[in-house]
Amino acid sequence: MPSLTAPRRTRRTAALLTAALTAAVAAGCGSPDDTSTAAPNPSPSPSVSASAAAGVLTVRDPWVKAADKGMTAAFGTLVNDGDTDVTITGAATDVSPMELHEMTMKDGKMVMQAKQGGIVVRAKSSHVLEPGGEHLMLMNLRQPVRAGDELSFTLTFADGRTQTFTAVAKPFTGAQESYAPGHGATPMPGMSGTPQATTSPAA
Amino acid sequence: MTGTATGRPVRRRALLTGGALAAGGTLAAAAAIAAARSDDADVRPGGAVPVADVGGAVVPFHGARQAGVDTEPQAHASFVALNLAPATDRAALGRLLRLLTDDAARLTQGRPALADTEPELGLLPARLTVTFGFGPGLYRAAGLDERRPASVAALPAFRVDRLQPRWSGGDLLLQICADDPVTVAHAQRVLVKDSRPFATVAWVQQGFRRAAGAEPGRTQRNLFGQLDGTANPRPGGPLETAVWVPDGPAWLRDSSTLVVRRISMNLET
Repeated sequence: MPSLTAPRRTRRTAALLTAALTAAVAAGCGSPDDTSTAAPNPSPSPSVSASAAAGVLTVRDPWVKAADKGMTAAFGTLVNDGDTDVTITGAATDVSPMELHEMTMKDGKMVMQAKQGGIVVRAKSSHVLEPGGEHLMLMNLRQPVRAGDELSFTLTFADGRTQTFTAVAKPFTGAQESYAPGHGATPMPGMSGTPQATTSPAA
Repeated sequence: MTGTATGRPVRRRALLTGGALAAGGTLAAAAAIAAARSDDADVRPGGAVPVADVGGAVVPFHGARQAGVDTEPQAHASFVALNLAPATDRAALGRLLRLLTDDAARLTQGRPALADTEPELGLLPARLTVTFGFGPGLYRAAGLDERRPASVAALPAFRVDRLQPRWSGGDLLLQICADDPVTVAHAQRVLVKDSRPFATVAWVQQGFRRAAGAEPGRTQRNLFGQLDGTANPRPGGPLETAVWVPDGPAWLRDSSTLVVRRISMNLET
């Protein structure tokens, strides 16, 4: 701050802003959301922290990476409170075809590939889907997934049951993953190692 | 050795980090002078302060009124003013506030934000509060300019205060306060990161008080050595009508209006 020629103890004011502090910041927050129905449900959930309870699994803290086009992925923690292992064999959403993916070491670098045999969540345990690990891959977006959007996903299990959950889209540039050649799809603009923001525009 | 010539480093240092905040929004619930003071540092017991309690302390996020207004002032604060991008319309505002609300609801309760890349930094809330303020531009972007309270407007020119555009304005204010500076920094990073698709940072003002618990129950002194905040209203009484909006439409009631006054403390060094 530049000094003043005024007397020793000078108070100078330079920034002012007025803003109303209203209590209700955004509609819908807090309570977990029960969206565990069998049928696909494209309608958005009112809750960011949506978790699908009372289904085959509990999906805790689900989120999807915002992206304008191409590929992106959904993450979360799958909790199996049951006494038997659960195998996820498929995932679906309205805005893109999907695959179950994992990251693996190949020729000294991490690459992504389809998860053979599905994602297994052991009995009485939880399984984390996260950047750099297993994830639900959106292969080719038909429309942008904008930051703050809420997407509905349907998981299909090996025994034919299904479960939906809602995930919010987060701006995220943390994972630097590259797609394994020979797995069929186009390169991943959202996950291919450039540090630039891959978040969607505001509108 | 106290009180000797060698123990008197009276050289005052200029502030590097912004210094005092006369923050109308964080009205101190400052207790009047209590507790007799011992001037002899040697007789004070050391090591008895349960520091872990400072990090784990939680202020509720949800409620009829936003936290961070009549909350006992925390030791550290950051005021982040954001300007909305032109494309941030009413629908985009909903998405932005959905993200920021969720971040604040989690971090203030000691839970990492969703997709937090440093989740360990979200575990010590240290009385973290995140208080949201809506500037005139946000009302316009939401298509609600006709509802904007008259107090939410550009300030008039002052005879003493010299307002600078560089430090003025803002469409959305995030007031982030906690008793730990790392907690404030992490929350600020998370919130700014989630704001990036919607807004740009206009200005940031950081501030600090004495460390949490360093001077309990006492009006603190600012860097001029002046007692600062003694006359702030306490919860109840005048606070109910002087700070909180007591009537009007339901969405406005129990809100407040904040003015950030940035003061340069010109101390000789």
